[in-house]
Amino acid sequence: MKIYNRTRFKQSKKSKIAKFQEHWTNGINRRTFIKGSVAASLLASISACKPNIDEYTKPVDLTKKSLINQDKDIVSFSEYTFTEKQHLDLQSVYMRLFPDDGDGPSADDLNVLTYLEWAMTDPKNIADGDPQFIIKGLGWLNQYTHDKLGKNFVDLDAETQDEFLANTAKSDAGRNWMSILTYYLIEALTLDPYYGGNTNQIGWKWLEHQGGFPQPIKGKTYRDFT
Amino acid sequence: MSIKTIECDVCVVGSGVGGGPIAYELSKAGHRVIVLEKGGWYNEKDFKKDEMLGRRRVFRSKLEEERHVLSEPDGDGEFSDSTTSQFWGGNIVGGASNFMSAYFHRLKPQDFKLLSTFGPIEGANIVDWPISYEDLEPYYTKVESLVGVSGKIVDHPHLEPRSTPDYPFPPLAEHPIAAWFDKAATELGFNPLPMARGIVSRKHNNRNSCEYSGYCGSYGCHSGAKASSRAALLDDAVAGGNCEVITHAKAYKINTDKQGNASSVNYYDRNGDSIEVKAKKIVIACYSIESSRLLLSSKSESHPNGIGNQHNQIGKNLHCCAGGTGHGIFDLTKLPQDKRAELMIRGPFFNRALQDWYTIDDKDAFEKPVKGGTIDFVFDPPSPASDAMDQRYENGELLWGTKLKKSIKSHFTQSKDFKFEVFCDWLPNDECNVSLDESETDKWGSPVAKVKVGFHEHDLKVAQYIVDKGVEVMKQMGADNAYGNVWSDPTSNLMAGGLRFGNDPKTSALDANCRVHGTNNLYVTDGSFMPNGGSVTPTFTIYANAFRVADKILEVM
Repeated sequence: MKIYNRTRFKQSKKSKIAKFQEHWTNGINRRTFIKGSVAASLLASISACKPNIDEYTKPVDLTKKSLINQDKDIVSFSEYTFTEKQHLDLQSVYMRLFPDDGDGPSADDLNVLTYLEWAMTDPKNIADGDPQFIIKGLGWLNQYTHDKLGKNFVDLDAETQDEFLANTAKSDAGRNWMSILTYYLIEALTLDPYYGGNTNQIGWKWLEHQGGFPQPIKGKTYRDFT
Repeated sequence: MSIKTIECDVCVVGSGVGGGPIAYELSKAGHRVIVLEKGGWYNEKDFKKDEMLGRRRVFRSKLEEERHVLSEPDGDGEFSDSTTSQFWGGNIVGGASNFMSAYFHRLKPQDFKLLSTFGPIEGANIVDWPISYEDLEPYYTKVESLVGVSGKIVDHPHLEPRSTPDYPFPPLAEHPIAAWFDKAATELGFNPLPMARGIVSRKHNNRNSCEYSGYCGSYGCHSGAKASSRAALLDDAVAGGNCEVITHAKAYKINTDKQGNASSVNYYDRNGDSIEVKAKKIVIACYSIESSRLLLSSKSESHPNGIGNQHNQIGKNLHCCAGGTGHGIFDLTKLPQDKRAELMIRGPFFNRALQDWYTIDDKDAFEKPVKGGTIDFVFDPPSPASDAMDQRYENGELLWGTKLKKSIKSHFTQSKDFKFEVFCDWLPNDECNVSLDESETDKWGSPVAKVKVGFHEHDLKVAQYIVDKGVEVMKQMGADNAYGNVWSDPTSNLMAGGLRFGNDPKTSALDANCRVHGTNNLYVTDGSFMPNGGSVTPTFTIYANAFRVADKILEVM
C-alpha cells in the first residue's frame, strides 16, 4: 500500500493529515495570495491605469478555452489568451525570471509562452483567476516603468529590468505575481513535453531527470479525465 | 416515488482490495454479483506517467463534492475541526490499490494477540483478535499466488511462520542503493530484508511484468504488474460473466427487513437517480471511514442508531499508521563518478526493510518488551514539478533569475535523498473514531463523516526508537546528512479499524467472520475489521482477510 509523503504537511494550509510517498501538489503556495487583502487592493488600483495600458485591464475572453487543438503531437491553439503585445511583455519578463545565463535552458528554450497559453485554457486555472491576474500584473509593471522612466518594461535593458523586478518583488502583490509566473515556468520546465513546454525534454535533460513512460498522448492527457 | 430495482445474489459496495476478493470468489462460484463503485473504470491504457494526473487529483474525490470533517488534537487538550478531502484514496474501480506502493508484509502472530502478548496499556483499547495468524496464513499464501507477490524470503528473528518456502514471484530488479544498504545494515548487526511487493516480476495471466519506468507508487500501473484489485481480480471476475461492476454508483443506504437483516442497497447513479439493489448477501468495503459512515447512515426501525450500532461500536477504534519518516541525503559532488551514476539510476526498486525491532526488548528504553515496528527503505514516486516548486523560496524570499536556476539545478543534480518510512501500531483509543457530522453534507445531501484522530503518547516513543535506528543506518551508508521525525498526525491512507471484529457484540462491531453483529447477511471486508493495524501497511492483510470471508460467505450461500 502506498504511504504518502508526510513531509507535505509542512506546507499544508489547514490539515496536518500525514501523507506518505506521494506528492499531490494542491497549488496552495501560489493561490492563497490571490485572495489576500493586500493583493486585492492593489489589483483594484490597477483599474486606474493610464490609457496606454488599457489593454491590460480588459477581461480575458474565457471562451477561448474551447479553441484548444490537440490534433498535433503537442498542444496548439487557434486563438490565444494573451495579445501579441502581451506575449512580448511576458517574454521579456520571463527571460529575466529564467535567463539565458549559460547554465541550462532559458525561458524561451522551454517554450514557456506556449505552455502558458495551454495552462490558461485549464478550467481550474481560469477559475482561480490566473489569466486576469497575469494580465493585470503586466499592466501594473508597465505602469511602474512608465512612471519612473517613461518606457515600457520591454524597452528597458536587462540590468534595468532586473532592478524593476527586484523592486516589484518587494511588494506582496508584485511578489505574488512573479511567483505565479515562476509557477507556470516551472511547470514548463518539468511537465511532459506534450503540454507545450520542456521542448524535446530540454528541462529534464538539464536536471538529469528521467521522465516516465508511457507519456501522455492525445486523448489521454490529465484534462481528458476531468 | 418508485425507484428502479435490480436483483442479485451478492452486492458488494466498493471495488478495492476489500471488495475485489468477494466479487472474484463469489462470481467464480456461480453467484450473481454486483459491485457498486463510486468512481469510473480506468485501465492500463489510461495510466500515463503524467505528474498532472496526481496534481489535479484526477482519479480521486474532489473537495467541492465530497468532504470529511477532520477533528484533531489542537495541542491544548482540545480538538479542532477542519474540512478535508485528504482521506479519499481512489475514486476509481480498484480504489486506492491503483495508487499503492504495494509493500506487502504479512502481519505476525503477535499482531493477532497484542493484549495477551504485551499486556494492557492504559488509555489504549487493545484486544486479542478472534482469529489467529494460523487462520489467516492460508489466505496470505493464496494472495501471494493469485494476486501476485514478488520477493525473497530471508530467515530472520522475526520471520512469521509460512506454509510455503518462498514467494511465487522472484524479487523485482533492485537499485544499486540496495547493496549499499545491505552492507551498512550488516555492519551494524541488523538483518537487512528484501521487501515483498504486490507487483509481479513476470507475466501473470493477462498482466505483464513490471517494466521499471520508475514511476510507481502514486502513479497507476501501465503494465498491470501492480496488484490493484481491478487488474488482479475484477478484470477476470467480469470476464467470467457473473460479475457486473456498476461505476459512478454512490451507495448511500443499506435497507433492512423486520428481522434486522440487510435486504438491499440504495445508490445514486451518475445522473443522481436513486436505484435499489436487492441481494441475499451484502458486503461493504468502501474504506474504513466510509464503511462506518454507511452503517451509521443506514437507520431503520430495527437499527435506530445505524446498522449494528446497538452497543455504540460502529465507527469506534479507528486507527491510522503511527511511525515516522527519515532521510539520508548524499552529496553527489563528493562521490566518484561511478558511484554518482549508481545513485542517479531510475527504474529498479530499493525494496529493503528492517524488522529487527518488531518486538522491542530493550530495558534502557522500555521497562518491558513492547510491540515495535518496521522500517521500509523506499523511493518516493518522481514528482519533478512539485520538487522544483519547492525550490522557489529560500528563507521566505522568492527566488528568480540565475538564483532560481541554481537552486533547482542543485536540488536535482548535486544531492540525492533516500527515504525510509517507519510503521508502528496506532493504538486504538476512545478519541479516534468516525461519526456523522452534523453540519456538512456531500453533493448528494448526505451527512459527511467526521473523523476524530486522537493518538496515544506510547506510539511516539515506539516510533522515535525505530526512527533513530533508521537514521543510524543512513549514516552508516555514508549519507552526508541524515535525520528523521516521528508523527502524531493521521495518515490519509492506510487507515483501518472503526468496525473491529470480535466475539463480544458489546466491544466489537463484527463477528469473527466479519459479519455485522445483529444481522445474518451483512459483511464488512475492508480494513475496518482490524482491531490493530500491525506494524506494516495493512493492504496485504485486507486482501487475505477478504478471501477468508469469501470462503465463510460461500459456506452459507
